[in-house]
Amino acid sequence: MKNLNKRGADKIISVYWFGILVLVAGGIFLMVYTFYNHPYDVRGLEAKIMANKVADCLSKQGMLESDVFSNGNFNEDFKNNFLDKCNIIIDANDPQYYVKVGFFSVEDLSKSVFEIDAGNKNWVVDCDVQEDEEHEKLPECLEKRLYALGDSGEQHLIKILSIVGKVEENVK
Amino acid sequence: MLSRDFRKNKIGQLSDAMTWIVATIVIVVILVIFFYASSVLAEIKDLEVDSKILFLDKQKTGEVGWIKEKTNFAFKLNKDNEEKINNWLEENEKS
Repeated sequence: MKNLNKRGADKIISVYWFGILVLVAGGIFLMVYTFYNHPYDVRGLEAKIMANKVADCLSKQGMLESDVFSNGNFNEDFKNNFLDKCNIIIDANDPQYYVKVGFFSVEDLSKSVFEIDAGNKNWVVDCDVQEDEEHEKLPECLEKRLYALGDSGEQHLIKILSIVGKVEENVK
Repeated sequence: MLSRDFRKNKIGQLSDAMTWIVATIVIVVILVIFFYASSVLAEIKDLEVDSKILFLDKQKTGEVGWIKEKTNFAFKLNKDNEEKINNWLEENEKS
């Protein structure tokens, strides 16, 4: 009678042991899944690269590209074909980027004399919302400023605003 | 006599069960703690890119970033209104 009792206890523990193994394995799976399922947010880097690409397109060795001007004035053709000229591809069906370039005169820094923009304009409002505090689920905004000279040596101040959307791919 | 043996056996079996119950609770608690830690680590993980090599950012004093270098070239050609321009360049850069 005593031997029967001991065998019964061993069988119950064996099944339970496998249950514990499954529980631990499931826990490990969940941990690994949670960690690797979370995406990296690279929008800040993308915005910087896009701003640098635009700056490179506009200014070389301190001088604005000759294409930017036409007969002493800003070239509308450059504005209309800005993306082609700068080799930037923005999907027209689902634009996940926005870039805006503003040219300012040294005499009047409050208002731009010429502007070029391309992409999803709706995100500019989201940048204003994030002036005080960044929000992860809103597009990433970046503003860079540079100084360059025109053909005749006139001074131009350039403000580049680059915005990257792609919220679903970068934020969970 | 026989009933005394039975009582001793019952106490032995009960302590085995209690051991496993406590062990299960400990295992579950530890799993929950580690799961929470992995979710926190997932939130704070960041792609480490040496942006200095890519010249994406302005470097420390004496070194230049990509866009800053262009500005420096322009200043070498025309230094008029340098202070005003520098103030405007450093003002309110959104990042």
